[in-house]
Amino acid sequence: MGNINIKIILLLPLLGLIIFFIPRLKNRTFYRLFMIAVAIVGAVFIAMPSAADKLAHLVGVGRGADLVMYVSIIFFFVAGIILYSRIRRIEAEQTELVRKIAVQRAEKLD
Amino acid sequence: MNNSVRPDDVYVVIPSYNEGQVIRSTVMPLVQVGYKVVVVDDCSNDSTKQALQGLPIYYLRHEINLGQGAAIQTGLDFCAEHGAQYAVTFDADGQHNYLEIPDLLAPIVENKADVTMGTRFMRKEDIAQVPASRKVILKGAIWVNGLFTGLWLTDAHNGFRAMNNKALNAIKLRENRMAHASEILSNIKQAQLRYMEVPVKIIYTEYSKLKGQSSMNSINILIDLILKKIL
Repeated sequence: MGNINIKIILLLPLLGLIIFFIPRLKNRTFYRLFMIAVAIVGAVFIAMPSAADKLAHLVGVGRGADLVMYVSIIFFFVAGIILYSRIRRIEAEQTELVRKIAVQRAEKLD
Repeated sequence: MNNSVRPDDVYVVIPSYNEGQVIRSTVMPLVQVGYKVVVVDDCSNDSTKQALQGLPIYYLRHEINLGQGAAIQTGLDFCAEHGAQYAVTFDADGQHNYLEIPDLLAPIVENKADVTMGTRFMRKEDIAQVPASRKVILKGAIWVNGLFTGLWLTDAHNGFRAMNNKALNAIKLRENRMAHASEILSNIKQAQLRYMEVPVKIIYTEYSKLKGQSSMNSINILIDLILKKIL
């Protein structure tokens, strides 16, 4: 029973990802396909933990859960870098905008 | 003044964030000499603007607080747009002595340099003024700047600088916060500008010490620099 519960708890957010969030990420094909792939692989591993174990053994990792953890650490690290550079870019654009407005609206006090 | 610079050829850029208490006394003498003063208000939430009322200056305001580097660049853009011959950057908190502006401009006017930077580490009497904790941080910053930019100066974070039109157009600061002090050096190197350090006296008041950067922030500057290098 406990086995099924944890499966449901893990599967629901992945289903939610597919149903609710991906349709809202418009025009980012690559990103969306990637997220779908992650969700599907995640769902397969949850439904069939032995599949994760097999894959883990194939690459020399003891357990499927360990493999999932290693991959997710890398995943989050890369995601962090991508987000950081995106924030930098947005910040640069925002700066340009704020600067343009400041220069245009320069006041001569007297 | 020992040379032929006319004060109204000189734009003095003052980045300012919540300096309402002192901004007027910083700006007043500059106006009296006849410099063109450009105050860039980095979205202060104090009385900065009211404090400046009645002074014949240019007032620019950032709608969002972006940081000192961004404010300086906005001021420099404004100067370039107005065809400024010379631009000076000057701290709002009264740390710099306006009487030293001609000293900073002199090598530029004599065509020996495109940029000059104030340094508090060239004259014994100036060094003596620097609080001990500041000295350690600044010495560290000199090394960091040297390693990152290949320009070895005696003072790494001095906001008192002067430049000619050529440098004005070459300097493009993209580091919005404090890492701009190193970025200026990179710009100087890339554009092969001629630079010179000029001794200046930094006036450490209780106010400026309080308002100045905390020593901890130097760690943030370092991280900004490293991230900029690798990303």
